[in-house]
Amino acid sequence: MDIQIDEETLKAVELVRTIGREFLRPLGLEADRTNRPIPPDHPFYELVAKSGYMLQGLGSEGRGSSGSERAPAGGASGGGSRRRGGSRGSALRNVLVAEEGSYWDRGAMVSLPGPGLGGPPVLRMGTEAQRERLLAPFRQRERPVWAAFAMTEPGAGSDVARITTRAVRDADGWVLTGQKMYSSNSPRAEWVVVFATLDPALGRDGHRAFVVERDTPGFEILRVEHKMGLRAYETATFALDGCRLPEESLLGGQEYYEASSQRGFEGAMSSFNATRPIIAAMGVGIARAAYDIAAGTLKEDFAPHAFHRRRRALETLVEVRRRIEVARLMCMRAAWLLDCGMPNALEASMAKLYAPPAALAAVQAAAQVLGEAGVLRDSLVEKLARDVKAMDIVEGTQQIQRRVVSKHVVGVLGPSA
Amino acid sequence: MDFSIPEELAELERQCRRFAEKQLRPRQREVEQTGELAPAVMSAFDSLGLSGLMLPESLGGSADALAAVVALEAVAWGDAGALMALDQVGPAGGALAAWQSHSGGHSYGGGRLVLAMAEQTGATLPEQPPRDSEQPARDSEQLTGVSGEPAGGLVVPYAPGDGLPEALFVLGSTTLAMYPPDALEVSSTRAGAFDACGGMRVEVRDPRAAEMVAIGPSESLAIRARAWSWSSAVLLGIAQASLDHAVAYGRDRIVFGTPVLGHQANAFDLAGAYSGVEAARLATRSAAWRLGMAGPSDAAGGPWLAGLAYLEALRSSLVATDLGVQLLGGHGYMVDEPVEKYWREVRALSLLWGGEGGALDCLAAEVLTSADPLVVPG
Ligand SMILES: Cc1cc2nc3c(=O)[nH]c(=O)nc-3n(C[C@H](O)[C@H](O)[C@H](O)COP(=O)(O)OP(=O)(O)OC[C@H]3O[C@@H](n4cnc5c(N)ncnc54)[C@H](O)[C@@H]3O)c2cc1C
Repeated sequence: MDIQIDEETLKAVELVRTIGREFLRPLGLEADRTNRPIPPDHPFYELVAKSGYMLQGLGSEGRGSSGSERAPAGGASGGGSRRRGGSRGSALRNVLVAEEGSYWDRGAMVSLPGPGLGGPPVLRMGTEAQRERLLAPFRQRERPVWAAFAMTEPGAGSDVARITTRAVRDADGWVLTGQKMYSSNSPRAEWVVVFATLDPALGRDGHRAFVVERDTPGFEILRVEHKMGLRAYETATFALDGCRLPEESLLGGQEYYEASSQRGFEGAMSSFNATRPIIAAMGVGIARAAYDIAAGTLKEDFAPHAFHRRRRALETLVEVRRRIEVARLMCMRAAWLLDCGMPNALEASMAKLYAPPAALAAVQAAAQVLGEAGVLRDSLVEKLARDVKAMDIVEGTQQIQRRVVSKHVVGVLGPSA
Repeated sequence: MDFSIPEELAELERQCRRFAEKQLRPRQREVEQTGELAPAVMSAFDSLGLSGLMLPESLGGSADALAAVVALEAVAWGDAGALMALDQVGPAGGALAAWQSHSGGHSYGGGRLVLAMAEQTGATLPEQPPRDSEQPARDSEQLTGVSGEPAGGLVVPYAPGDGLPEALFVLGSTTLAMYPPDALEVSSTRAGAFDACGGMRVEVRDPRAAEMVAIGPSESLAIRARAWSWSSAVLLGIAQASLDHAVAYGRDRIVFGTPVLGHQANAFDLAGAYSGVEAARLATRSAAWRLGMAGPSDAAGGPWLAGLAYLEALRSSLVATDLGVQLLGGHGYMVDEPVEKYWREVRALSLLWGGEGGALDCLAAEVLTSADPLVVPG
């Protein structure tokens, strides 16, 4: 056992720290106060693009990718040889970078250019040619480019089998019709990975993943949502009104789905093995930010408080640290397994089940240490509380993680084991 | 023994609910955005006579603590932000009554009352009040925010048209200080919730203007208990609104072939949260009843129970409003649904007037000597 973090990862974290201090925190605060996302033409994004970090896991709702790797068939759970020293892989780095970025501002972090949640399905399901074509815009360093992911619909969130966006094949390719909602960064995305169904009656068997490019006729942003927090990036509803797509827009091509009719669904699910630890780690980052503010208050200015009040505040901080450090270990372990090519679906869900509620509790505890000052809009802790709540919803709610964990655990303990 | 509330109180609760349902709830988002309450809403609120329930008899009120918590909860269920803007006495009712009985000669003709706990302001009130009430209480630096924010001052709910507060009461363990309007300065600030009334930062411009009266420790606790009762009732109104919304939503929304609340795991969580709120409500009402029985210096264990009820209300409303958002999934995170507003409101309210820490401090000082209500003559 060795839980040291390698030098390269620490360097990556250090870089995000610099960017975070200088840009993510101030831009995120401004977006929150003005209730406006950071505009896509903000010069900061150009800097990010120039630095070559669009593919380095610097940000976005999901993991950034290294651009060339492809997960083993069936996702991370599909086996592969065990590679010691997970730090060599990108999952662990992505997790720690996500934590650091979210420490400064989770909303601004997700708004960073990069493939975002669109990355994992392209990497996991796409053909060589698709990966090459779709990720090319992220390799250039000229201008910021975004991508997005769209599964959720008005009638289907957790229960993705209920999606109704229809994909119909004809002689010229595909026609997509339906509506997607809560797709983050979609208004500025170069392309969006859209999950659709051949026939809703087929359930999971009917799922297919497509790449819809921004100028496709019929693709129209209908509204940008007003969220409780995380206002630095857009989360939007869009229409697919008879969008005509070429044959190559089907992720993985026809052959991909020949092995099993559920591969569309499985592709989406296996991306979670990478993204859930990241979302969980983002919660840890937010909790850490709250901790620092509370700890700073206790270090600098606690004179007016009686001894026992200070003592209780310190004990509260111990509990906050407990949650932060344990949650981080859960995230790191899930990512390490992924880097080793080991199954990690259970660990990824456990990290996602543990960390966001722990992070919310940590932020609330920090607010208590601040007392009344924690109520104000211009106190960062108030914003952190609103931001952190979403970590318990995106990429599978807490309830969905319980479902996954109990399936694994009961499967082991039950009579059928 | 009778746990039911008397018919006239039940009728008051129905009236407040109707007011909340018809006049507050449908416009809660609009009011949150504009901070404006229609004159009709204000007069409808006045006619409910809520402030009378919190004012002492010497000021023409009935100081009916039980009626107050019942009515407050019902109104907060509609829109706690609007309630805060409308209710100018708020948690300061107990302080005003004590001030009246000790200093006499003061009248209250309406206007915003502000209550602060001494420890919350960072101020140290003298243990024994000076005989000469003109004597300056402390210097201006003593009344600053807990966090040491440079501007300092207290954060209080406020309505845009309020002007200067009628009085700021600062409650110490044996002293109650009162600052008249001309000693105060206000500036607007924004809290994370309750935009309907807006936040106000109150600072003391002229500390010399403070007047003080000596109160016993038990009276201090009783004043605090009124504030706890007020907060508990408002927290519970918000929590109930959140659960009601989640129940309505969770019955319709289908996930994995079953309504959200048809999944036993969710139904269990909801049942737990619901019971938590009900327990806190029972405790809050029982405490209010005891407070009503007690004289100014508590013979009936009312303040102690009010403190326990407050902790119960704090915790159960945090759980209930979190579940309210969670059961709606992503929809709960968007401003189109009211549950995110309830979530923010409870989190903001739970930090005011000393919050959990303040309550624990007081209760810790009482725990070894507080009598079990069972053996206290009611
Ligand atoms: C800030 C933000 C960003 C987002 N970004 C994206 C994005 O980029 N792309 C995208 O596709 N989506 C995105 N989403 C949507 C998100 O993935 C969904 O909101 C989430 O999956 C929940 O779905 P839902 O909102 O429809 O809730 P529902 O699925 O309707 O869930 C309602 C409730 O039922 C519970 N529930 C569901 N199934 C079960 C079960 N079997 N047992 C017990 N309880 C259950 C849920 O936990 C929840 O409490 C985003 C959401 C938010 C808030």
